[in-house]
Amino acid sequence: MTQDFPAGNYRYIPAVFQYSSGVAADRDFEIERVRFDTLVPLAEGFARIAELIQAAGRPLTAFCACELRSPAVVDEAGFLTFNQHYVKTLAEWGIFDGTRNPVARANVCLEIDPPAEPSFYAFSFTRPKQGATPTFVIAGGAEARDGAGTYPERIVRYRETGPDAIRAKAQATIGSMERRLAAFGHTWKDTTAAQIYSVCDFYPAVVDDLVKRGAARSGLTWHFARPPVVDLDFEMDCRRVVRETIV
Amino acid sequence: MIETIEVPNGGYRYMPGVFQYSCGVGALPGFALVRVRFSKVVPLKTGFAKIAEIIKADGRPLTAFAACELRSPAPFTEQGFVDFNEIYIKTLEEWGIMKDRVNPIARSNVCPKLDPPSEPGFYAFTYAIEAKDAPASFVVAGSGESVEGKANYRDHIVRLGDTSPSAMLDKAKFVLAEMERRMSAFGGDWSQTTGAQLYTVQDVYALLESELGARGVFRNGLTWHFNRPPVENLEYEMDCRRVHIERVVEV
Repeated sequence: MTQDFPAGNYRYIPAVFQYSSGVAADRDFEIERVRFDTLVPLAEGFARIAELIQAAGRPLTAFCACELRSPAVVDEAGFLTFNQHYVKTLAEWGIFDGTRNPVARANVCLEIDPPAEPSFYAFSFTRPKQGATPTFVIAGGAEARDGAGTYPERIVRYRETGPDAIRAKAQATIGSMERRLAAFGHTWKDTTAAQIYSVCDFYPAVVDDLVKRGAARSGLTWHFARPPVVDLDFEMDCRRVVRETIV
Repeated sequence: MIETIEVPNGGYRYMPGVFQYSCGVGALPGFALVRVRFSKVVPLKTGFAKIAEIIKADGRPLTAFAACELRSPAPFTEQGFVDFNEIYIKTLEEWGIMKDRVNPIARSNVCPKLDPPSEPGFYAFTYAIEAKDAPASFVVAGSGESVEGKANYRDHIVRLGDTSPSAMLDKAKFVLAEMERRMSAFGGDWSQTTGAQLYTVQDVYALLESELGARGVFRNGLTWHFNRPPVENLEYEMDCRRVHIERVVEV
């Protein structure tokens, strides 16, 4: 189920051309997460990321995950245009081969103080560490079922926002997080962080679906943001990363 | 201007609070605060030993210990809270950090509503390292919706016993103002925080965007712990920080 990406010293869960569903460091490597103190626009962000990765003595192929912020939700066509632009740099860096993309990603739209253009909030890369504890980053996932069909066909409780609909959306997302964790042999108890992107009141899911399942063991970091495609309401990601810095 | 006091041989200064904890800490020039989280809650005594080990391994004296985040089994009674604090501050006295009941250590102490630890323990701690040209860093201690340093909390709790939306809003406003006051002692505000944490088991959705969002609290997301403040009848606690290096240590 997972694929190796030896050039980056990590493996990934294949998904679509724009991102993978998650990455995990190879043995004797660890994933480090770097967050920008303020959002950095895409092109400038890629340049700074390249600098930081190279300053750590690593090849650009060590880039394994990123967290993006976009100005506003888009339709499917708009999402495609953005993604084609985004993967171009990954191709130049020798990461994206035209079909398979190993880089995990979360891309959301801030409801409060959104950036003027798509920007980096954070990224992760691999670096060698003898005997490192396993580390991984699970990509952002929302309440759309996998498989064929347009978003409206795949979105759980499409255009419903009542408490039980939000709970069903949260459950669907949590289930997809758990399947991705399982692909690497992990569960919530191995995570060091879980993030939620929603502008909805998901309180009906907090106790039974999040806290009791162990998803909130490091708290739930709630970003008041929307998933990047119109009519999605609840997105999450999670990770196990033991070193995080802010630049 | 709020007065802060330098900790001898600590690498940081603190804003005085009560004998159990300070209101916050800020690294001195040439130093940076580092936050270490444990992979699971470590009981108090074992935790102090582990903290000593980590601080020493980094070539720093125990007086570099600056802040901690605790988890307790259940909200304390007022007397229980006093008793617990006596045990906690004993180690701080042994480490040479606390003298004459003046405590420089910032602290948050909360009680997980589900799956609580069987005894009080450490979730995370912060210490100061030497770091030339490091950006300013600070950690603000947890505060619930009551005034510190009075004979008891209960008589000063904002909207005691009321968890209606308007009461939660008043509680949040009190706590947010206190966070802002404490940050100001270190020249900080929400635009500088790298982390903000909320401890409540109430549904506070109604006030998030209008109150927290408007103040800029959501800059890096809001880390919500489904925990209660440590004293009965407190319902809303927060802390915040500006820290550039964070690690997780397996225990």
